[in-house]
Amino acid sequence: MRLATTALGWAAGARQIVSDVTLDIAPGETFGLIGPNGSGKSTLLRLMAGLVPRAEGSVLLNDVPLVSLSRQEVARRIAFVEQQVETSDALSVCDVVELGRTPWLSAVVPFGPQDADIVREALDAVGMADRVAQGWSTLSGGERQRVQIARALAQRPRLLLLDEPTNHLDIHHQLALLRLVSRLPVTVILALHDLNQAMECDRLGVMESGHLIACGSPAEVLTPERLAAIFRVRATPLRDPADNSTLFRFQCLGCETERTRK
Amino acid sequence: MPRKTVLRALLRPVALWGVPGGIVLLAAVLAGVAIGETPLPLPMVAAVTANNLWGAGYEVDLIDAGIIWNYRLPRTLVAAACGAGLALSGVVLQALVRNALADPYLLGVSAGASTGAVAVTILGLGGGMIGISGGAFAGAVLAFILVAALARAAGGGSAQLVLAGVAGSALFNAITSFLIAKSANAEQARGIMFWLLGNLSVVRWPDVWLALPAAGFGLLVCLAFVRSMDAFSFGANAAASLGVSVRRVQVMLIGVATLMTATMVSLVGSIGFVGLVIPHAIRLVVGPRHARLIPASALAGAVFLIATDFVSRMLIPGQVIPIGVVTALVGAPGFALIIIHNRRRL
Repeated sequence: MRLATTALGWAAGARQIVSDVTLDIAPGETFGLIGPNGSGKSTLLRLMAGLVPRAEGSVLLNDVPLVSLSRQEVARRIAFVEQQVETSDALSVCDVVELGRTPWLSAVVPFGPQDADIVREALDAVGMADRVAQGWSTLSGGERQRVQIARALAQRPRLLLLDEPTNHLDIHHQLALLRLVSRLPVTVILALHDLNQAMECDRLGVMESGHLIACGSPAEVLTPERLAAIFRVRATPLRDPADNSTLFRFQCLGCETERTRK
Repeated sequence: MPRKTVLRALLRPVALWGVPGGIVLLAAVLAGVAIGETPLPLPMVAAVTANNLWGAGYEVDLIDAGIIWNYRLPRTLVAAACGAGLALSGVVLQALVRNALADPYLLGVSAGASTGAVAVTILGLGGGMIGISGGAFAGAVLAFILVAALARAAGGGSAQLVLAGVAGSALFNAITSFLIAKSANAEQARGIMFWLLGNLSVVRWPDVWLALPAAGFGLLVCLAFVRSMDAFSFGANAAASLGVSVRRVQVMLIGVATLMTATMVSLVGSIGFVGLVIPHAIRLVVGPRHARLIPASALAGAVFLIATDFVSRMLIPGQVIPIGVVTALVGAPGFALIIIHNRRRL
């Protein structure tokens, strides 16, 4: 599914959190959003999901304005995984993933065998199929993250929005998750902190102080000069002889002087 | 989906829950009617009911028939409807406000009702045109509108609704106390206190025709929204991203809960703890999913209030204890057990 935004923005009172973001994301693309803390990545994702009231600008899904769709129609197209969610209800893993079927069900279309199959597939995809009966409150942070991603997959969306999905995951599950989402036949937009993981995306957008300041292929976007300016790190590109891919080693800019001062 | 499958899917829960639930409820109502200071045998209860419903013409003692038909049956039916309505309101508010302490009186409904009742009784507001129930209903709705407006002005979140409810309840309770202290004589004050603590002994058939439809309508609306309530498990934002029209569902369900509670409070006074304890207790039995929680809570609330009404009539011979006192005496220790049981989760 194609997602196009025009002059998308949002202000919390007098503070502009996101301003003037114009983007065009192609069907099937895996698009990474990077930027320092507080640069507006999460808000931009929430704006794309249509979850923010009083948004500026517009979002088009396959040329249909997002605002013209009902919440249910949006939820059949877009699944969103927030950074951290909590509940005090004694839900099981299966209960949580079944919530993903909500937009497809109604009083006359109850949960059926096909829905159960979709839920099982989603649990399989994140490696939680043997934990269906376990209580949500007994899961670790990483397991909760994987269950929420299974819930999003159970929504059968055509666009998946993930806010720092690799947070809390061990390295195996980080790589497994990125591999899973890049292979899905859907458009994926994800906020990431690990710039080496961001290298695997088809395209990257760089956020700073609410503005989209760069957008393009990882090689174009992740230049040592830009990383120094935005993330305040010295980035040294290294080459992995195994597959000839580039990765970065980072050093903190401005940190050495503090240490020498001590 | 073929129509037959849809029909089967709709009828399955009715067969699964409705039939056993109906049998349990019927048994509770019959027991509530039969047991009392004058025990009346079940065949006589059945005969009187048949006489009145379709003129079966069984020979029964006229005094016993009067007790059954004019006194105990309406009282038991209203108790059942109130229990179901209060328990349902509790489930709805706990689901939408995402606060374990939410109960039907959270939104100032009970405080507003008591102010309305007192204004009618003591100040003679309405000039005798509206009874104590009418005044209570008007007060309940007015208080809720004020609380909702305050919550909206404070930002509209669920925490704001709880805070606004606390402020609204405090205000209306203060007005009630002020009116009683300023104007009531001892007799009026005692009568009002009895009403505030819940009183089913004044219930007659017209009250049944208000309470039963209110509870039935509330149950149907809640059943239609079980999936939406489930979707609120991770908060209103998560519900929105699952396709729930959050504002519409909140207005609809909180509105229905308020109307149910206001109706019940205006008929029988404020009966505490049912809306708080029953949903928590039933969650321990059937789990947090609303497709089960809603019908199970309605049934448990109805049976619980029939039983407590029976206790309130029988505890001290010749004297009726306000039912709110009994529900609190049972409910407070029950609630204590539940919070200890849940200590890891809350």
